Parts: sequence; structure tokens; C-alpha cells
Amino acid sequence: MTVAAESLIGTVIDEYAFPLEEGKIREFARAIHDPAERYTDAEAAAREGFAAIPAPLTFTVIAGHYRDARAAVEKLGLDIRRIVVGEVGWEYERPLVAGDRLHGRRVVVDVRTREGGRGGTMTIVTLETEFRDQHDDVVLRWRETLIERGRTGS
Amino acid sequence: MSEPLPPAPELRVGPITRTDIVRFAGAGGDFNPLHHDEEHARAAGYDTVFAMGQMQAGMLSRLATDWLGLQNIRSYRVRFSAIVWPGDELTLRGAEEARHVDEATGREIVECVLEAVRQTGEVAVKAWVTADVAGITTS
Repeated sequence: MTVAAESLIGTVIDEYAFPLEEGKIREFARAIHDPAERYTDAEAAAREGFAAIPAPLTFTVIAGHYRDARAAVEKLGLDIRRIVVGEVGWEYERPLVAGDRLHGRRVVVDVRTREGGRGGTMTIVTLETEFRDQHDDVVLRWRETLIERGRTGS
Repeated sequence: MSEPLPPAPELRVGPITRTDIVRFAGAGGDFNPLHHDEEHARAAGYDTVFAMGQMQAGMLSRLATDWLGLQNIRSYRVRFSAIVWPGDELTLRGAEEARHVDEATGREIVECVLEAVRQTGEVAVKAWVTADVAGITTS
């Protein structure tokens, strides 16, 4: 990579806000083949104790509509053609429900380099997005680990 | 310490279609052409289009919520290990691995491991999930 790796830690990659909408939750639940009624019917959600239709566990993936993957990779100084997503994790403070409004801020929390077996240097970048709700409470932390494979590896 | 949880009731998904992949692209906003444009995928050296890992990560999350209850889940982490192609059939499985007591809240937390396995036996996605034991009801 072109930039000194450690200097990236703490860099804000992007910031965005979005509302949790019933229609989007329905669409996402269908896309992951989850037929649970809690995602489409407020009464079924209430029977499980939710104040409104809840979002599936990986719902923040819809941030794809609000953030720019290519710009993020450029900001990191990485080569998008060599990037793979290794791991992704979510930590929940409470369930997210329709009507919530989230604000996410994605920050570089770790950068490591490793010599790959086939000669290239691998760069592993961990990003964390902290989501706050309309009351400014932290409701979710989302970690993504990006791996930039070495130039000579394939 | 209560009894270990019975394993998650197994789920099957598939065969995965190109329509499934396109539907997920639209839902999630991932319009990388490798996932929907046949010519683009071939030019990049792949035999055909393939699913974005988040699609099968989402499918596997259903196993966790069906089994442990959405409201009980404290964390969900996935590792992508193999490509899922159109035509693939996935088997979703999960089992308890360990328990601990959360120091901050004093609550008992169960740690489970889930996987989405291709018809070849290859693991496409592995996931680790933690959940608050007190709320879990299994039949």
C-alpha cells in the first residue's frame, strides 16, 4: 500500500444516515429468504415483544445504498481489484426497528501487514462503524475486515 | 448452568438462482457487476456470476434468529471462505459451543457456531453468534 499503514488508524472513512423503513425491511428479509412474519407484520412483531417491525441481524448491509465502496477503498490507499472481505461482525445494544433513524460513522481501527506465502505483502484493514439512533445512543457496532492480497498472490 | 441447547433445526436453501443474487443486490445496494453481469464476470476470470458473501451471511442469520430468537442475540460475526455459485444448494447448521457470564450485566451468554455448507461439503460461510440464555425458548 502507498500510505504508512499505522497513520490510517483513526481515519474516518465515511459518515451517513438512513431511516429504517418497513418496506426496506420486507425487501431485505425476502432477499435473505427469511419468511418470518415479524419482518412483514407489526402484530407478529408485537407478539415477540418488538415495538415495531424489527430489522434482520445483517440489515445494515443496506448501507450499500448510502456509501461508496470505491471511494472508501481509495481513501484507504488500497487496490480494489485485490480486495476481499474476510470477516464481518455486528454487536447489538438493542434490536433495530422500523422508525429508527441511524447515523453511522466508519473509522479505521486496525491495520496489519503480513508476508503472504507467495511473496506478496497482504494488508489487513479493520473498519468499525458505530451506529447511533435518533436519541444519540449507540445501538450497533459493525466491524468489517478487508484483505488486500499481495500483488504476486492470486 | 442449564442444559446445553439442542442443535439448531437444519435449514436448506437453494438451488441459488441468478434472480436470488440480483434480488439481494437490489436490497443491499451492492451493484458490483461481478455479481450480475455475465460478460464482466468472465472477463475477470470467473466462470459465471456469483453471490456476494453478504447474501449467504444473511441466509445463515435466519438460522440464528429462528433458533435463538432475534431479541436475544447480542452479536453475529461471519467469515467468508468459499464462493457460492448459481445452482448451489446450501445446508445451514448450528450448535452450541460454550457459555460465559457477561461481567457487565451478570447475564449468562451462549456462544454458538453456525455454518452454511455447499452441496460439495465445502463451508461457504462460518458464523459465531452470542445470545442471552434467559430469553431462549427451544422446542
